[in-house]
Amino acid sequence: MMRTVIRRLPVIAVIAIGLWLPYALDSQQESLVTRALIFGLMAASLDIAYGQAGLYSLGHAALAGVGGYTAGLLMVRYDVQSFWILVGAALAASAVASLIFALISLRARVLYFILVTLALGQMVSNLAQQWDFLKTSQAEAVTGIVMPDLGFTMAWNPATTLQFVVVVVAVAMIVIQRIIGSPLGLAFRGTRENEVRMEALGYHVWRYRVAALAASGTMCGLAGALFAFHSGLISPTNVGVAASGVLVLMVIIGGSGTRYGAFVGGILVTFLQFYAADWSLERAPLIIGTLFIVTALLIRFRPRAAAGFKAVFDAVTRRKQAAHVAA
Amino acid sequence: MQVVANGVALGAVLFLMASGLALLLGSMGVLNLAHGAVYMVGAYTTWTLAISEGWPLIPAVLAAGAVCAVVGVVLERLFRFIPGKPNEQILLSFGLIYVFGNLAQVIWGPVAKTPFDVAWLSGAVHVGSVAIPANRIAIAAVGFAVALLLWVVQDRTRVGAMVRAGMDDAEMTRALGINLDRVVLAVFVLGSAVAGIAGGIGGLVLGASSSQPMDVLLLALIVVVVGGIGSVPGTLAASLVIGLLDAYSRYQFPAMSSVILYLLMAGVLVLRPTGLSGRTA
Repeated sequence: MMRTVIRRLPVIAVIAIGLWLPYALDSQQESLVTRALIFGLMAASLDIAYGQAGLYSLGHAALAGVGGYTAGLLMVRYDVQSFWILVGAALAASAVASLIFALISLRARVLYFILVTLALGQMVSNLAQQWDFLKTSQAEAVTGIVMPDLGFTMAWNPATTLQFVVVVVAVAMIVIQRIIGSPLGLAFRGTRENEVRMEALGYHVWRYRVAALAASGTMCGLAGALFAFHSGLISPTNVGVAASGVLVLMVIIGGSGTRYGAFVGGILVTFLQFYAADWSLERAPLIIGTLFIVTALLIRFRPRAAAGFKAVFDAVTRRKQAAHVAA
Repeated sequence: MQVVANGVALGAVLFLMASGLALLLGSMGVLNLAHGAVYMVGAYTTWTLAISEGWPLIPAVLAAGAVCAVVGVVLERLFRFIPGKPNEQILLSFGLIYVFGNLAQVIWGPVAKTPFDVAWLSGAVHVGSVAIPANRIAIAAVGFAVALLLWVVQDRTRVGAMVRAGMDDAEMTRALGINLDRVVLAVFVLGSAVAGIAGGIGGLVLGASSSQPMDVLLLALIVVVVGGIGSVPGTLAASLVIGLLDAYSRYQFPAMSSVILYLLMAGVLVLRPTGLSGRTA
């Protein structure tokens, strides 16, 4: 018991710092950190499929969008306020969506698979653009989403929103770590490394790939719902190919297939986007694009770990992953 | 009939957009998502030369193809750094999409250019009761000419045989003493030049805009998925089917037209995962 507590100490400390953060930040920074945490969760969810199972999906923003749109539409159109119902519905909808997504996209392989996920993601975005049911205003978006009702009194402001998101993201990250650390997660990595050998060992590779996409898409749906609550609106650009691309970049920059890499990458890229846009709104894509190119070309000097800061995490994450493989 | 004419013209543009991408993906397994960015460079170059500088259209389009061939050399140098790594290729291509799109805004301004207006193509050809705009006929003509050229190069020449050998078994091809690196460079140059010509001639109906890197990429991807890779006739057939379907659905139910393309893609994947022509990536 005591040993478990000590082993979990860093995690507990991170959550405690997160809960304490509002006392150190102004409300704009609180909002930025909230957003960063949500995207960290989204990237970590994507990494279940992308890094663990080696399924290079470029359409995951659409799955997150299914969650966000479900929660947003239920709230705005049908006046459902309960957080639990909204999140339950968002999880269910994104689970169904990711199953369909998996059934179509897994017909194709490797590079072809990437193309198909990309096109499927864009299909959802086009649907959101063209179908009037998915718009609540002239702005081609679902607007007017507010923080939901938790079933007990909670005064929403940027500080409490941040604390709430810290708790939800922490719980979700624990679930993700459980999946990655389980025999199921080990099987995901097996199908990534050697499909033929896994088949020979009696694993039904296709089923594990569907499972990986479903788990990853469902968790993305949760992050999408949080995104809708926090930003107050969700629009086709949030679910399109560009958004999916940024998710993949978060995963790659943080280090795909590691324990916390994608999460850290998500936080880092969100901060980067914010400060680049703050510096110059028109030239932000230029800065971000250049960074991506440089990272892509430098990546070969440090396989599977992109940015320099990853080196620091490497020692921790690699060892833990190795221990899992051995166990 | 009008719908068919529009559909064939759109199909020709789609073919021009997609053939370079299909060629690259097939010959070396390079997923060049920046292909749409090359198209955009072609479109803007043509606009600058033909509209702003007053060149005749044909030299302007050819010049755009040449400029894009140079861009292709640069891209090949960049992709050579990271062979066979989907992660890095995605990161690199997305970076290029951002940078090209934004640079286009810096150079040509944030407002998209309207479809190029060329005097000798502004009329229409009357066939029976149907008036077919001359610029669409020009697009279709260029599309089919390039298709024929690519088909001859790929299926009837020594270089084409090298490209196909590289698709089937890169290691064996190298072992036979073929310098596959140079073949890849040639394919990059050829694919990019075709994309540049596509941008120039497609500009007659689509203009030029800084959102094209992504828009064109998506259209090209659907064509590649439906048509399969490594076969010129397959890509051409897919482009025409999609062009006709899109023109028809725009005419019949405009609200859902772009979704229908994706449904077609999903349908093809369920029935024939390798696309109409049958090679796999």
